[in-house]
Amino acid sequence: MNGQSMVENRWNQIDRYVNGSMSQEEQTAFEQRMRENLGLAEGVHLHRDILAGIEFRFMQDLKQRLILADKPERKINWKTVAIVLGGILVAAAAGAAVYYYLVQ
Amino acid sequence: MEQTYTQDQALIQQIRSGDEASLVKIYKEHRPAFLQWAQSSYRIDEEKAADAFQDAVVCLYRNIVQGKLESLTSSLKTYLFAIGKNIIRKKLQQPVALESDELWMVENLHAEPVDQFATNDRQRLVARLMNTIGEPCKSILELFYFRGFSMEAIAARLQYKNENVVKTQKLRCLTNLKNMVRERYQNEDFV
Repeated sequence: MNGQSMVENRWNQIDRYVNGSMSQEEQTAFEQRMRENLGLAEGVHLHRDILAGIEFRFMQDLKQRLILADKPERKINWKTVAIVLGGILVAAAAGAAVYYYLVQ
Repeated sequence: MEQTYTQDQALIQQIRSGDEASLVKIYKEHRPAFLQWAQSSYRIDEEKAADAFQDAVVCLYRNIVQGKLESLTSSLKTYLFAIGKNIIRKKLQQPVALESDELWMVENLHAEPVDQFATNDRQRLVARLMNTIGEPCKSILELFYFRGFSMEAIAARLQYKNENVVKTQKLRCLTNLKNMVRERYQNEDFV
């Protein structure tokens, strides 16, 4: 097993311990190793902080999405659109009429 | 009343299966009543009441996806108000009398303000580093650690070949995050 694989294997064990997916025997042996190896104990502590940080981040994100849900949706005001389009049509018609009158 | 619980229970199932729109529906449905109640009961302004309610809905979500809230013994509104009351109490740092059923709820469910969830600088650093890890790490970590998806469900959702590929990818994402944290803290003792 190379260095990278050993590190991944160790972190995988920590992940399983923190998730509670180890058997009782594995858990007891792992806790004994933690007592003997401060680096491993710190690894578990770091892992717990990482998981809490990940969860904290997604809780913040969800809260932001709720805040966005409070903002009223911008709806198209069809009455305003109709008035503006009507105005443009009337102006175009008037312009065409003036042009036609002048050309004649 | 029974009918209401059935509808609430259906909403919980939908949220657990990943339907966030159901959570937003609950949020919009109960927000006006909560704001009115919180402002009149605790003499807080609308902004503070809304902030507490947003935290309460986030906590409700977390309790649902982590399996702490499975079957309802009260309406969702009762749960939300009990969680919200506890959150206001913590934010105001004032004791608030809880009814016996509300006490049970806040003792058995997560009911903390969101900003108090991170308890140390390292956790807050990890939250900030989530901006830099990119995809697919962000999605995998969110689905597994926050939304409670199984590896199999993540593989299906993100179109991976199988759950073992997701497991390997998740471990790489965690390794990257740990390395970033270690760089900041220069903790040479670890690994």
